[in-house]
Amino acid sequence: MEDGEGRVGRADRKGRKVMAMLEVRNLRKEFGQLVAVKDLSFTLQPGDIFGYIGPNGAGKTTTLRMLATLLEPTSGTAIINGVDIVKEPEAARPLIGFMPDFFGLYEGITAYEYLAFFAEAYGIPPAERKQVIENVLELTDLTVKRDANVETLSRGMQQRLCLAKTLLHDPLLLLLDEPASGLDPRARAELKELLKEIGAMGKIVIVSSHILPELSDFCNKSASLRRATYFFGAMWKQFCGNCSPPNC
Amino acid sequence: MKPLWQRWVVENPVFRYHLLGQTRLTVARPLWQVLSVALPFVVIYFWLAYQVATNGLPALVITLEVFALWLLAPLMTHSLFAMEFEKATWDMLVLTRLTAGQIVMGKFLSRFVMLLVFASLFTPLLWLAANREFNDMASPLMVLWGLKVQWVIVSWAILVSAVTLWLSYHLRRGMVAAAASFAGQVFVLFILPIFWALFLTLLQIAGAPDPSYLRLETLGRFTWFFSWSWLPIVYNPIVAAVGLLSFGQALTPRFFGAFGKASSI
Repeated sequence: MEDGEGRVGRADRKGRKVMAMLEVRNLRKEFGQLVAVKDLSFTLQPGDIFGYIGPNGAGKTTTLRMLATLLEPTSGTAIINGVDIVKEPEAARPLIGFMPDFFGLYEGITAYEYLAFFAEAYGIPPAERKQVIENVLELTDLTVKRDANVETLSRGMQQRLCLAKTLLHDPLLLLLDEPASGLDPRARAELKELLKEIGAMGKIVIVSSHILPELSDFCNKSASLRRATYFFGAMWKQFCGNCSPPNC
Repeated sequence: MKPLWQRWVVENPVFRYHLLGQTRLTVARPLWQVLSVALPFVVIYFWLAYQVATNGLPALVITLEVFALWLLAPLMTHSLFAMEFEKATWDMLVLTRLTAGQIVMGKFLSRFVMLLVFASLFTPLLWLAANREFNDMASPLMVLWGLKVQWVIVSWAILVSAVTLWLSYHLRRGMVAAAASFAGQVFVLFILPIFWALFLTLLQIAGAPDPSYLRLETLGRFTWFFSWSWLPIVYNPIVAAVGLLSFGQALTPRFFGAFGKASSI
């Protein structure tokens, strides 16, 4: 189903037409002879938390980097709210929040200053900046650490700070590459709660992981990636009965 | 479209972070610790100023500034891009609305300001030395001389900073970029002139007529006199460096003597 502007939509369970916020069409990435991602297609709606599972080297990070406009696909594309990420990466970037699997923080500044740096870099008007930063600090439960040096924060707190940074410009699509890696069980539980909260805000969240149970209790859609090929199998259902495959 | 000054400096968080955020003391230090580090520098500075005011020594001041700025330039810039890759912050930075120009110029201009601060520390010393040497501090010619010296030294430091910044981006390793930058400077400023001198010597041994117009001093002298005109607005820092070393050689023959000897065999 397509609207007047060429955007693709689909019907929800009650038959109402819903505009697709993210549509991935035959996304493919080749590195020489190696096919890292093979013709990936799926559609996600606002509020979806999409668990993207696969072993190391399956192509999860490559997919997320392509969706984040950091890597050009060999073929295929993705449409975010009507914006083609391949044709208009500059226009797509304000709609995307990307948290890489391995990230660092700028040294010598406090958590608040770190967020202020990115708030300015994202072009948030000065009058709104303070309020936006306070909001994301509160959402990520880091208000008490606002004046702490970023280097003194624990790994879990740094992860949340990076997520706060990713939420600053209010993106429609959140791409989180293995956000729970390196976290202790308590920090993982906190992160899950936070992601549920973000999903409830109507954003599309794509979370990658190579650990199946890690995503099972908060993702409402999921897919597995094995050797660059996307599949949905019985094995996944066994672990994650309440999840459904994305619309592909 | 906003003016460049606003985009590159005023509304550029990259510029402010590298100028202020990255350089400030992140842990509060007691006053005695700060003073114990700062005081020796202050004492040395004033002792040097006294020595220069008493004995002149413009070549010494020039040499000190050359070493300070030309060593500091790679040290200050080597990690500006490499740190983004080493700390994995690059992806997050490029996904913001900052343009490539804002990122590059923000980093470069932050170091340019620091270079100017360091250069300004040497300005009073240069002035004192010139006054002792030429006995006329107020002469416009002396002011021009000081400006020319600063121009030559700072322009080379800027060139080195820019090259190191480029290396930092392409090599993605700060220490490698710094090492390559230092090596490049040593090659251009020391090895290349020696090769040139050897080449001229071989020419003479082979029986060629004395190519005095090719000598390093000739080039340096020409460069130096050229710099007295108003033309150095298009000054090439590499030529400037040769001119500076040649001028230093004239003032302190023992220090720079090796070049003179080698090229006049």
